[in-house]
Amino acid sequence: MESVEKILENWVTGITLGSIYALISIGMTMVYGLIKILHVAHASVYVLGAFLGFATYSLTGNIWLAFPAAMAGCALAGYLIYSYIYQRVQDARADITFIISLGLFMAMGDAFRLIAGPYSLSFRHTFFFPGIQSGILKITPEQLLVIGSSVFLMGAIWWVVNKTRTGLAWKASAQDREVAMGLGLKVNYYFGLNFIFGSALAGIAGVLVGIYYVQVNPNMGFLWSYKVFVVMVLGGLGNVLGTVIASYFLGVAETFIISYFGYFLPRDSIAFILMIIVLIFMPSGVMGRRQRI
Amino acid sequence: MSAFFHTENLSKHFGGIQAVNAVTLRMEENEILGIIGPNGAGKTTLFNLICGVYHPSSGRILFKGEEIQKKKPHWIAKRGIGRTFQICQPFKDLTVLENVLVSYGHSFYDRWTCFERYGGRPHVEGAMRILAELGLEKHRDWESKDLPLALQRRLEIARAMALNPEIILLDESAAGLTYEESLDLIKLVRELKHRGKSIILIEHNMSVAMEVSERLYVLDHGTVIAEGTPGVIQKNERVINAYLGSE
Amino acid sequence: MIPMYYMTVMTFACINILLSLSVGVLTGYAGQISLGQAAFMGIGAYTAAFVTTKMGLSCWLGIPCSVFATAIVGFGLGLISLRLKDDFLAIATMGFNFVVVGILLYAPMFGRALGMGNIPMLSLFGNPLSREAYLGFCVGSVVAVILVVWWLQRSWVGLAWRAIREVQEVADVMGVNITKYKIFAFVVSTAIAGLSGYLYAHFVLFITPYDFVFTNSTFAVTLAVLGGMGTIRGPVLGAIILTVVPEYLRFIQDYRMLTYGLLLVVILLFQPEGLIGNKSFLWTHLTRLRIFRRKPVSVEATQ
Repeated sequence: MESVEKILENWVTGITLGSIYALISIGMTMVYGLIKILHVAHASVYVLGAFLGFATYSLTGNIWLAFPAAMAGCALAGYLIYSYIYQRVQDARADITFIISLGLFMAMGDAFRLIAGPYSLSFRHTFFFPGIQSGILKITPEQLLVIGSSVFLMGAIWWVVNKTRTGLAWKASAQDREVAMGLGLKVNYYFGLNFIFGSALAGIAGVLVGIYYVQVNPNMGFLWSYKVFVVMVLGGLGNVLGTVIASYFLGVAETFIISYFGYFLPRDSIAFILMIIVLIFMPSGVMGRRQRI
Repeated sequence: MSAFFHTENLSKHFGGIQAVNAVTLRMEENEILGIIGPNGAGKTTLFNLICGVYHPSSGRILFKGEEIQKKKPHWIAKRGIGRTFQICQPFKDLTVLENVLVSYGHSFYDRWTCFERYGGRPHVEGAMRILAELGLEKHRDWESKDLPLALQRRLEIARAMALNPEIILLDESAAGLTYEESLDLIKLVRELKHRGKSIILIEHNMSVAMEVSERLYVLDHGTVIAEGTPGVIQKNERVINAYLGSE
Repeated sequence: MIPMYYMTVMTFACINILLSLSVGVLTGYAGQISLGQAAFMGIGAYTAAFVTTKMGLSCWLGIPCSVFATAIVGFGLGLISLRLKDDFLAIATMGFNFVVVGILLYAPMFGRALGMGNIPMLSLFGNPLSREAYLGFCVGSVVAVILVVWWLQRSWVGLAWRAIREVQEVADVMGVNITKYKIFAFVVSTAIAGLSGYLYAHFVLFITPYDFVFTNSTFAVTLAVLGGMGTIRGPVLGAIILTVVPEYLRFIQDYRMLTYGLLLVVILLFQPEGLIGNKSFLWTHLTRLRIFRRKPVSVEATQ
């Protein structure tokens, strides 16, 4: 029988993990819900954010500068990727756009390895604020940061999507792109904005992960990107709320399963089997989206 | 009730939207039936139901006494129902000839004959005959995406005809055509009837619909609101209101 | 005779050509994306290894066993593909790759992470084939597969596939049984990949699950995309280029993922038909030199 302390610890870890999954996945699911592109390279943008944040921190010693630096850098990267790559192939077959995104992901991942070296770089910072340590509940400052930022960011996203004109434009364009364009909406502009927004989110997520795991390394993207797929599928593609719920579900479930059972199959495999099953039995929305005859 | 082709209380809804609502229509052999109605009336959905792209939420479709509403599209195609599409959908990377060959080969796909060369002489000649009937024989090696609109529409019809169908569904084949081109289309439809085919056409072009249809059904919001000969329909108040009301 | 080094490169080229053709058949003709071809190569390779080392059967029996085993799994994947399209199919096949590698890593009968070794070389009447003979065998396999693919693409099967690739719903309405043909495409494509795995296993004589990871599936796709999918010459050329060039430009080995990733992006952006695909820049210029097809009316008019 596990102690209450251990259970709580698992919950905290699980929620932290879930927060991370959520932060990475939201950007990608927003892009998918709107632009209908499965932006694999999102994981590379997230790694970029981690490295930018790390670099900024190393140069300035100020951890709080790392966040805006990562956001700005990733937003810029997002802009470049969207304008020069995705915009050109938006109307191609969906699997072609996916392969391009995959190619981008591969290239960027390797570029990180070449620039920053294949090893992990230590990203250690002691925060001035303490964690929570009341009796059986124990939350480290890093966990607090991650969870707190996630909640804050998700609130910000909710606000943007539901309370701003941009969010409204997104919702309209997601419903029916041609109608939106017909109504005079500068669809490309809003698509681009959405993309940049998602990329900036990825940047923040990158920095947070770097801080939480005390390291950045070029393989970060690979490890998380697969999970992001699973989370997106479980939560319903394009469905932000569903993705958030799925993220926390996965984070908590994984933590508890590993805590009790250890690793009995490569984690990836389990997640993927689950994902394939869901993909197969999921109702419409997965059955391709470009054919209406 | 004639035994050739009819639907019984055919309905289809998508989520909360009732696209087709208890549509019952019938067609005699060798008839030219017109289906008209304001935009969004469910006409194309009706075609999609008939040729098997959608399965109805309820109701039946009977073709020569056989129920076809739950069958797969290729099965229905081989049974003798061919169609064109409202927005032309040629096989873009294939030539005009190859486009027609795809449906021409419908009887070869399911047997060992599928390993035969599709470019063999009898097949090409057969497909060329169909192209010639539609005036497309000079364009046989054109890439189908390079065809102008009027010819693309004819290619769609050629493709449907290569199925050697008994019923041809024409979905807004007159859309975007000039006056002369629509006259050609009317001539073509009459020629098809002359050859024993039965035709159902969806038309938004009123003059074409009235000119060529022998009987009409009018759909609005998924329901049949009128049925009859063109003369009768033109004077039907409900029909006029449906069109005016939606403008 | 030919130096060992060149023979090794050429043998690998043959193996890669087969892998590339398997992508070409599935994606180039039938328009179904698969990011799991490496897994099928693995199934073929491991079957070959298993049949000879664990079951002690003749290595030649490995051919039908590998091909058959891969085809069965390919059939299953084909069934799954019916419910998925485009990018979701891509993700599912990617996941499939991971699952297969996961199984290979954890299954004791496949040697877990250490893989399987001591795979015998192919031998005829007790004498192992020389390197030259094995290369000849590989070339022969390649030629045989090319003949099969060539035959398929000029038959109704090939036409059906291309129609499915274009607009699958319309192909259905035009009388093509898309279920049957999609599954058939998967079966043929994976069988070819399985054969490629068989040749690989009997060449390197020692295989591990890491030989068949997802990144190798992306390699397979790059091979086909580079040359030009939708043709036979495209995947062949792509495989030859990406097997030979890295040997001459050794430094590329370090930048492999970067190169392949960039290749995919650049080619799909600027020349999606590939280097010598049907409408690529190179091919249209090469074929302008001779007219061997009746030209469209408009072109005749201007000449």
